[in-house]
Amino acid sequence: MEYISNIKLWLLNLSGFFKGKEESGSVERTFPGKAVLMPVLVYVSVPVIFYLLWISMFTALPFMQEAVVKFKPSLAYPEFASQTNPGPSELLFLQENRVKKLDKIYARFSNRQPYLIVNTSDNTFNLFNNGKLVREGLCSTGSFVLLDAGGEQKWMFETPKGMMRIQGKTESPVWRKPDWAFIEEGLPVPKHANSYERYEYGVLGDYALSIGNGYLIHGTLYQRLLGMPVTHGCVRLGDEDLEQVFQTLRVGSKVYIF
Amino acid sequence: MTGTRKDLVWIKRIAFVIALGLLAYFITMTIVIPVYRFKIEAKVTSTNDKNIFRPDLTWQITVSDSIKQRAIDLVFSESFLLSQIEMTKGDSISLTVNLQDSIIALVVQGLTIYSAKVEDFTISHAFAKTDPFVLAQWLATPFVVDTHFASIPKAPVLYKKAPKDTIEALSQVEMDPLNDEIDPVYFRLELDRKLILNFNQNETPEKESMRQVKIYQRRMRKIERNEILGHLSRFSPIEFVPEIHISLDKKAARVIYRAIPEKAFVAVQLPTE
Repeated sequence: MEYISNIKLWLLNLSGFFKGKEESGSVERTFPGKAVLMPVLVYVSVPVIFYLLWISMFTALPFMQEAVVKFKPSLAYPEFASQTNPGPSELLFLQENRVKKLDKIYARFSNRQPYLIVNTSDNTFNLFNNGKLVREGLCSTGSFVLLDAGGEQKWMFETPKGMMRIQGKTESPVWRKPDWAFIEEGLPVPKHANSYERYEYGVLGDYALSIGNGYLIHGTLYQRLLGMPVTHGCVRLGDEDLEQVFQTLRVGSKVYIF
Repeated sequence: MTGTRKDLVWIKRIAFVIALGLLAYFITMTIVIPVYRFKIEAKVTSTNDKNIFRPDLTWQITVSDSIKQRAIDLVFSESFLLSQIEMTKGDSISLTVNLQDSIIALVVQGLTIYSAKVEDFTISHAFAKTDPFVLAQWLATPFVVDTHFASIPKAPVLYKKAPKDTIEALSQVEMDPLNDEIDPVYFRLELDRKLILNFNQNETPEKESMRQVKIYQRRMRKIERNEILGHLSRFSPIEFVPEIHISLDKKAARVIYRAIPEKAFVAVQLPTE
């Protein structure tokens, strides 16, 4: 209680200090410019103090941290004090060996098998064999068109991204048109899944490689559109590119699409 | 005259209160910030099980600068390799940011499928203030993308209503694919374990696309403001999150942003000098 009354007393003195200033305002009367000068000084000095404190705080921070590390390292890094250290040369030798070992482990992941990389942003492809680039060129990938046929009938024409594998290879493929192909053309959808109207010959080029979920790498009649995102999700290649890709990749080969 | 003097007294009082408030704020922040920073360091050491060399202060003081620098280089290389090896466990696309060699790459199971040159970068001063051996421990585990946002859409979706008949379908055939190549490319990846990667195109944005840049910057500021306000409302100290700013070729920036999947792994190697 005594403590609280002391605070009250202190506050009372503080208000007295302001009041005293107010009552003995002879200076203000003789120098009216001060009435303007004082607030300006206050408003200038506060941001300056603010700035100086800000700077000093960030300058002092590393020193404060250093002090903590110096006097109480376990507070900063609990495992610091407990570790025994090898000598400098011994350490460098050990460390270099560790890095070499890890480098070897990581190098094992490099692919010597044939693989294909498809860049859907630039619509380009790179074919690798034995770790070397053997062919590169333009391709066409998904158009990102969202076809809305009303209700729940919606299709997104996007090429799937990630790592795929060649699941099958076909020569002279035939396209069995899915429902969206008819809807997109404004045609009625055939009732039967194997209706003859669904089959189109020669539109997929000479070869097709399946990468799963109905997506193919195939040829195209629209060679002028290569390099543009115009497909329904499949990857289209030019005739010669497709031939080399078909001959190089095997069933199980990896296809990286990003 | 009396009125002016009364005003002056009130101004003095308000200024006094403001100054007192600022002083209290700075004293609080000076105490809170270092404590909070050390908490982050402690969390790093406790969750890391990688056995990377971490010398004590005596070792660091006694060895020559060249040996210490060589040790730091090796420890950072080891940390980056460990992080990359860890990422090979998944089969999705990961991102490696090698600021030592200024290379950014998309990687799947250890195979680089796309790489681009980092044109320019700046890193938070916090890294320079942190013990490099502790930092190497922190970087030895890949980060995971928590949230992201950008000045371009992740997928440039083009809406198309199904045509009623063949005549309407023919008119739609000429519809061009969405071309957003003129759009400026800026994006931000907020990673778990408190690290932010800010990417921007190296090229100066064209005048027509300045509006999009401003929208992106406004959005970024709004997120940061909300974060700070959230901390203030909870009376929790504002957490310090170091940032890395990376400039890339516009095309490369677009490719990378569109390629990385949600929750992608990210390995970072910081420059050692």
